[in-house]
Amino acid sequence: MSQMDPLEYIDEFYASNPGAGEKAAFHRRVKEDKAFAEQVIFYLAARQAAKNKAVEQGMEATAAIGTQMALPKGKTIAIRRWLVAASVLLVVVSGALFLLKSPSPARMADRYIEANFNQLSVTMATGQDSLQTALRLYNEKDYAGAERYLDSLVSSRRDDYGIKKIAGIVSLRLTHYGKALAYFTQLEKDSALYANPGKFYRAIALMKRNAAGDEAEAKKLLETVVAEKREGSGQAKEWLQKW
Amino acid sequence: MDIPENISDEKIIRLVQGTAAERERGAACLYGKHRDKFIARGKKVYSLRPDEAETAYNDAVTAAVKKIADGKFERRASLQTFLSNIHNNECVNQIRKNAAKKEKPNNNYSDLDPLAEFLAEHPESTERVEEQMTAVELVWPKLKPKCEKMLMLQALGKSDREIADILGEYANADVVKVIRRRCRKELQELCNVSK
Repeated sequence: MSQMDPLEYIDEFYASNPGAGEKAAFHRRVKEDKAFAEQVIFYLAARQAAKNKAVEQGMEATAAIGTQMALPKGKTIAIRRWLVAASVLLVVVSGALFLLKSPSPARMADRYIEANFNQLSVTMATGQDSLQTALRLYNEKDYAGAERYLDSLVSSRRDDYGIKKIAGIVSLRLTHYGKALAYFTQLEKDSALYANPGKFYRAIALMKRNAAGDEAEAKKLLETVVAEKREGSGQAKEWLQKW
Repeated sequence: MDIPENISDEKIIRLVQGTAAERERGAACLYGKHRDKFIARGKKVYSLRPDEAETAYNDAVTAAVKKIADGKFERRASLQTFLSNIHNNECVNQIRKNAAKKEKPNNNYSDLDPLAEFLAEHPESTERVEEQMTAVELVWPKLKPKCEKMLMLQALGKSDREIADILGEYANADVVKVIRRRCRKELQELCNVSK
């Protein structure tokens, strides 16, 4: 196999589901043979660039359902025209369905909360017993219990942004939106914090509360988060595209 | 907080190793100095979603600041290289977390895609991979449409058999494999020519 073209060998390696021994030998060769390492880097970089292109072009869905991407040879022009018309109709109908089914801001906030606030890391509370207890209760879904600990921690440690952030998340979980907004507003004002999610979290609380004017205010906040490249700007941009 | 442009590594290290307020300021400087580059890398090289790329970068800065404050940064490389190695690990961790959510095994590299697995073993190659990806992106429009399709489908994890079925123009997987490899070789030659 070593006589093969290096790119072919690398292609074979990645297609063959290699065992631990083969992988170790491969990585050893990368370390010892600079020219080989360059070939592997090209192979993987080209593959990743192709993947990004495929995602950009929305090819994932096409590939997943195994749709024919090229029209079969030998078909008549009439059939081709019919297929093109049908494809256009499908795109229009799919587009309309997509627009109709765009999730509401409240639903987008729900999804974010479920994906990101389901469990909070206890390592952030090293050496602080009551905060660790609050986080443990939170992770056990005892939000009211966590809130009791956090209320007293917030009043005893007014300058601790980390506690305000957690207290805001707990209030959000308990649907105490006013309280969550107050915590996130305080967090937002902490100018010493290098990755401050205060504004982004305030937008989430408003999206979730969904009272009169909340959606519009949340949208403004998200636009600011994106414009100022603040914490959460990636997610904010994605939401704004669906708004 | 105002972040001075072109602040030196030495200044950042001194701040991070200073008082609590200086440490926050040093962390902010480190964060701001490399933010755009590393978040873009998380998305481009590791296929992370924007919010995941941000999380990976935030976690990397937090870990780097802790190491610097604890005197574990040995100055054998620049701060950017030091942060880059930590950032690679955070991106790989993020991919593993995603895999764990899908209940795939996460006790080895089998849940990682080939590039993430490679960079977990060879973090020093990250810059080079990024350079090569940029070179490929530049010449990509010169590829023949059939090559584009084949390389994209393979990158999405499709086998040659599946590519043959999807494209419907090739007799079997062996034909696809030969053409696909020729396409990759052409892509490499285009990159070499454009150097």
